[in-house]
Amino acid sequence: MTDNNARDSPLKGSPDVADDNAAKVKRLFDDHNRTLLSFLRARLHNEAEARDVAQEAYVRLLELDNLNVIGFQRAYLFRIAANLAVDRLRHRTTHEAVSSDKFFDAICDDRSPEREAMAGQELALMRNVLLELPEKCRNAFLWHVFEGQSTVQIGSRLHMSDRMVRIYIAQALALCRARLDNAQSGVRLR
Amino acid sequence: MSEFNLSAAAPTECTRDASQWLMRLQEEDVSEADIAEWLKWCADVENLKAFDDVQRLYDQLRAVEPAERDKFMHLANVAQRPVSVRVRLAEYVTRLFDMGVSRVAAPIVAVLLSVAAGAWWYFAPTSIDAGDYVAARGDQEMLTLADQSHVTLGGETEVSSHFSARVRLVELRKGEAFFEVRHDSARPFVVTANGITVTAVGTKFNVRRADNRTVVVVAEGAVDVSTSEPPVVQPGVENVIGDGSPSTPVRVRAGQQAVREPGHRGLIVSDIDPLAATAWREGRLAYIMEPLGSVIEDVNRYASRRIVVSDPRVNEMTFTGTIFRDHIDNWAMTLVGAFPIVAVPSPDGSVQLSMRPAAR
Repeated sequence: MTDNNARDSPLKGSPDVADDNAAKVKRLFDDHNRTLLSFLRARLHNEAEARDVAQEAYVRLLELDNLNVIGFQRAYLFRIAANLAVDRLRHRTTHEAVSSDKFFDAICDDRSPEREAMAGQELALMRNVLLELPEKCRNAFLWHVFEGQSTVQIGSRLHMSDRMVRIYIAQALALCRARLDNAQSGVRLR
Repeated sequence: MSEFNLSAAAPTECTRDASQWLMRLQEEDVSEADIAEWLKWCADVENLKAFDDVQRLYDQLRAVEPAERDKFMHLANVAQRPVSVRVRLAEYVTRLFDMGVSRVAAPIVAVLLSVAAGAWWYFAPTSIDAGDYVAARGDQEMLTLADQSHVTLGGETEVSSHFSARVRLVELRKGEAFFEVRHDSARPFVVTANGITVTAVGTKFNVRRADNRTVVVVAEGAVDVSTSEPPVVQPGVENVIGDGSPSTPVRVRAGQQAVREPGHRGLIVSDIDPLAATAWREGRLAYIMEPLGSVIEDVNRYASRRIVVSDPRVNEMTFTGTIFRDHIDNWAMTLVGAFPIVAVPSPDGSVQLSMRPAAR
């Protein structure tokens, strides 16, 4: 049982355990990397940083003496990533160069292309959609997305709970997304 | 380009959920339970795709050039584009109540739901926004629900709807709404508000929440109204007041109102002119012997200058009269002559009401 091996072995880098960990991390990566990146993008709004933090989270897992001790590996992976993302937001320095660890060179082959900017016509469509929304809902969305105001700030400005502000922003965003999809599926905009 | 097909362009449930999740996950204090719930939701690849799509749009908009950003910011504080009837044709795929809820059980389920509504947001954020509708302060919104029932929302009003094959459930979370219910005897229309439950089959009625008071006025047909009392335990005393179960429903007919006062367990049913009670839809707020506190709460849903009451005795006075929306901003000042109160404008634009000090 590898569990016992790990407890007996004083060596962190014992080859058996390291191989075992690598296999487990590889599995976590295969099963959850896409959601982990989606999660980190939602927190960091930056593709490079999201990938960077994801990689760091895997490294942390690899460095553990034995992953078996961690009861629920997926939850642990996301917790490490969430904590790293919080640190990252607090410091928000220019992001460090992505390490060229062989492990990741081997498994990171799904680099997505840079997110392209929206066409002027699409942006005009978004403005039209926003005009259909009630003023408060629209203002909350604009202040949040284009001025970076927090939901709490907007809530006190509009005399409502930050929960309600979230609902407003989500409503506006969902409507924009739906209209954009509709436009793109009908007449190609470019 | 041809006109947009409204129903096709309405966000799918998947996209609405994705947007809610995006907002939820961004909070610094997002819990592990939330993340686990989100991962469960993401297990459906369609959901994850919708999440990534919404996320991409969100980031693209955040990253627009400064010139484009300015164009967007010009839209702030612009009046909503006039749309006479806002049709929301989204298909409400609410799996929640498709479990054979009988007509008798529907109000009970509705009450349980309203009790759990607060906690629900955290446990099932993917379902609560099935149909959230909001009218901003000073606004009035007309909605057509999926069953073709019409709802007019007063200012600063929030409702959410959960429709299924068995029940049409609407929660009035805040404010006032007038319901014109499409007849469907197989699928009762249930409105919950502040501990009361109104069950209709096909009728017209108004529900208003103000200052913890809830008023149901029936304009056409009849509805059944029941109350539920959240359990209150007094410290040191071996008694529990109210058990959270719904009371026997009271039938309220056209031309009647049912009022639930704060602190009272029952409903007070009396005759009323339904035209007066629903005159807010034509820009008039009409009251007969109404506690001033609930009048002020109504006015605040429309006025641009907020009224702040700094002495609870002001709320207890009774008001009879009609307030016109066009003059609503100055209404607080007109109270000074009629009541023993003083009104003081604040630098933030609000008006403070307090009792006039006794003359010496």
